[in-house]
Amino acid sequence: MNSQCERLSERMVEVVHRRASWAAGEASHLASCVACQAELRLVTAALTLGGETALPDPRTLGDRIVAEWQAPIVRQSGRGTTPWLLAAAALVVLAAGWFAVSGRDGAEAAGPLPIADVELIAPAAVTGAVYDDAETLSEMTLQLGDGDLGNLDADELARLLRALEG
Amino acid sequence: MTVAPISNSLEDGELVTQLVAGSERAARELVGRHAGPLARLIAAGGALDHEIEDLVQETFVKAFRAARTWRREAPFRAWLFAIARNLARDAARRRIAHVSLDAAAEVVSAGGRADEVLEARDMAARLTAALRRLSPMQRDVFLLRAQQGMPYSEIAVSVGTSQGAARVHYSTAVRRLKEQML
Repeated sequence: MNSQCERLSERMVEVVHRRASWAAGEASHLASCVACQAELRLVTAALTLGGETALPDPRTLGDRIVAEWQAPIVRQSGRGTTPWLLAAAALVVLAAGWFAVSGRDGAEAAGPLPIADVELIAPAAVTGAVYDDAETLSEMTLQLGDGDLGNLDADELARLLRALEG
Repeated sequence: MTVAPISNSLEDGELVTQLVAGSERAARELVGRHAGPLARLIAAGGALDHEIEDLVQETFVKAFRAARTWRREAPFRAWLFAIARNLARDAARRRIAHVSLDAAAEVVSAGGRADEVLEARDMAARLTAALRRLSPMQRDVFLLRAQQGMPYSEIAVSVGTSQGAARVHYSTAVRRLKEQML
């Protein structure tokens, strides 16, 4: 690709999108350059992609989007299940461990399950599971105020957005 | 109830300011401006027909809910397309699309029909198939540039790279598409 081809490549999108037109020299080059002609066919074809996509009329679509945007954020049953299953599994493991230990110690075997201890351990597991759920992270992050987000630099914000969008 | 239209001269940034304040009209105006190009981008990126509308809706809802986090150095459109890109990629991961991808690849493999005149529709179908052979980054950059007509500065924001890298991805995509299609 020579410099003229590179120049045409830069301008091609502008011309195809009708924001510019070819200069005489460019048109002349295009008429004789097979590579540029091929690229022009590609860009022109790209412009037509998705052209037959059927969307509802903007008013209907706007209604639906506004309704969902303004609706309270509710956790979907499928996505919200995983953290709770993990938390429940953690509790089962803890309980099994406790019974195994107490089984070797007759003095403790008759005692009740120390709920307070379990509660000290469980939150970390639950929190970790919840934070693994991108949707929940997104919801929680959205609750941050302007001031908190305003302190983020570009990289931090980019990471946050990536987390938001999963 | 008649709702007065919002002036077309309002910039996206002003609309987003109103949106953050809770304006439904601003939300509808943003949908009206960007839904069409967004749907075409998502369709060209390989989403199935029945997914497109949901992805468009989901993109706007996510964007509106997170609108206060939008940094205004980049255009709203670039930010919106970045959200759409991630959602479309997630949808693609969830989808079982091997059959349709294989079918699309066959179209490219049958590229030896030199005696046939390629009409625009045929060219678009072949391009769609060829795009699936590019890396996601190359495909996205090509579509944002060629289909959406975005400048490299906006593309860089949308795909999370530098302008220079976006140019390289575009050139590579064009070269590979030419090799596959011509």
